[in-house]
Amino acid sequence: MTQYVSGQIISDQVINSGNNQVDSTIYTGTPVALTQFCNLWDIGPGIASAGSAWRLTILGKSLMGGTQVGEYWYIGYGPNAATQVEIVQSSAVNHPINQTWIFTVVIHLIVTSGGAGGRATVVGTMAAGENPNATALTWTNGQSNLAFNTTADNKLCLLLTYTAATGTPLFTTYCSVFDRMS
Amino acid sequence: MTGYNAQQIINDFNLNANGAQVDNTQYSGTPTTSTKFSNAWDIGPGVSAANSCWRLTVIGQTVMGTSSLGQTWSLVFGPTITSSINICVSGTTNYPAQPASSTWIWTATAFLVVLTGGAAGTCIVIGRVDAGQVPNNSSIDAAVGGVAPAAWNTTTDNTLTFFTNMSGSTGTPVITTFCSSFERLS
Repeated sequence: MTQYVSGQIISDQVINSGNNQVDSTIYTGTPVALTQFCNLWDIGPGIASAGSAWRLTILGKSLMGGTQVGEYWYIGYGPNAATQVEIVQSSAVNHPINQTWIFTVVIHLIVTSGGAGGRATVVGTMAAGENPNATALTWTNGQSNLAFNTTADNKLCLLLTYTAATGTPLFTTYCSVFDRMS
Repeated sequence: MTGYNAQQIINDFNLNANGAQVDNTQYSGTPTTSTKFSNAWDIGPGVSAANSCWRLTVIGQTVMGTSSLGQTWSLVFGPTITSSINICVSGTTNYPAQPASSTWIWTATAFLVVLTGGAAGTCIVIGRVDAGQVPNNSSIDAAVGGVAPAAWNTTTDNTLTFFTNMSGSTGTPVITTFCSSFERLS
């Protein structure tokens, strides 16, 4: 909880930046192994406790090349975001050649118990629309009762990969928004 | 712009209440051409820069009449109403049409992120519609649409507004939006 000094004028931007963090670094490429595709958001040691919740939103697009390949969407969490939770392994047949998906990914991390032996629930929803809106796709997946050591330095991010680089598909993410909700 | 007293402790409710703007004006009708259905939220000249981000949330419902028709959910942005993108067009290939005499409750959530500033700046605008059919007997995929990147002149007076329309008026469907909230995230 933020305290302000005497006489300080607080702008809307300052107020909001206290609760939401936005990173508009652009990530782009054709990964063929799970690769970090947004800022590596930090949840420092001792920051989380039972009932803490965060929401991470990522905005981007995926351009399929001349060959259909699969797309894997995962959440990375924990120390160095090294532990993975699958949102979806999209089949190659889902994304037509030379078509663009505009997508949003929303990830929730909820700490259910604290301490070195703490637990958390991690859930992600990927929603994509094919330009010009010919297809609507949504997948949600996650896991509960996951090990989550609140005394360690934890991270949260989106991981993406194609199943092959054939035809040179291209992921681009433009922005991620990290909200602490409790 | 809010000022706080010496040693005043500001809680999350204070912070959020000042950071989000809410408009409860109700919009209702049967538009058959793209029509403004939320407040035209203002982003003044010089207010945005690279990395500025806003979230617009619109809450509404569509009561379909005696005929099943398509609906278009859109976003209009920039200094005029000439820049627009569709989030979704229902009743098209692979996206369901709302059944006759049914009600969809829906939320439309849009992000506007400025990538580069100046008169020749750029942004992305991406929106998402999540709908459920009352009384929850249908699961409807979320729809996502947008543009990345698009032109965005940070030196002019810009707005972000939600628009919608039906593909026709047969059977008199009614679209209603109850509220829009506009948050500056960075």
